[in-house]
Amino acid sequence: MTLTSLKQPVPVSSATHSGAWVPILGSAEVYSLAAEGDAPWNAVLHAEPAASTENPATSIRPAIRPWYDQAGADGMRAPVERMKRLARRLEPRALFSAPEVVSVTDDDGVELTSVVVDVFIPEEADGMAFRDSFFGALADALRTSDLERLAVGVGRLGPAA
Amino acid sequence: MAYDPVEFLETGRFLLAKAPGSEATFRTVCGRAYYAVYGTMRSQLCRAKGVSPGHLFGKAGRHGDVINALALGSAQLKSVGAQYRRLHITRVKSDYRYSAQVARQEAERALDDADWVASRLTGIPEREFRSLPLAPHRLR
Repeated sequence: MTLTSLKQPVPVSSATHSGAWVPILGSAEVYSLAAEGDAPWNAVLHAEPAASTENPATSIRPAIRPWYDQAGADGMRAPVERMKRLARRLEPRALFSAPEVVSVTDDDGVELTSVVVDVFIPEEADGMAFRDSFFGALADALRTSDLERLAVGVGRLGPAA
Repeated sequence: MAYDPVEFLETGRFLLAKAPGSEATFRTVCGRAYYAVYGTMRSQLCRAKGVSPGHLFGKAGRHGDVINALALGSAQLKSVGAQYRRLHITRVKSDYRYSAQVARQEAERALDDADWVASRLTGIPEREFRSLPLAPHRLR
């Protein structure tokens, strides 16, 4: 299996968003599956496929499943939305990368499947203080079975265009 | 005096300043950021459980077991789990997934995330590490 990196100008939040496209430093890349295979690095597009102008009778379009329908992500849609609300409560300008389902196998052969979401906060925000409040609240708010599958990075927003 | 793995973070920042446009640097920094956290976690766990790294971790890293155990720990240990897990995924991507680009911003994020996780891990009482469900390593 190979991965194709699809450059996107921004990570798009599925939570409330003004609709403006804001360039973001550290914007998470979005990967699409280019072929079937058994490689441990699996990621999917979160966004709905754009309307096609191709003739559906003659074109072949890969079926893109939403991230929350991927193996290992069952039941994670609500916890991810809850996580976003917690972040927004602490930092109203926070944006989020599209969730990705990623499986990795460690040196001991233990396979970990996680839903990866990055939170982007303004450059001037106190990142350490945000992490203290946010991850403390997250540990209180989510069930252990959800925490076991959530991977969250904290990046910085670039200047608005 | 024992080496403090948190120093990897300083090395990462130094590398970013010296080679600000090199993807090889970005990948290396992501790896160092993860190992700053992993090394800190390993030291804390071994101290708390009173065992050597070889006894608890064996020859391999036991990364997955440690990451999974964090979610079963105290509130403080749970709170660092999601960042720890993110750092591990970034490290695997950086070391093995050459078809996926690693950007400078990803390396900067990894350093910041690792800085927070490592500093919080060092402030968590030993008894909380002792309660983590990690049995002595058995070679498979």
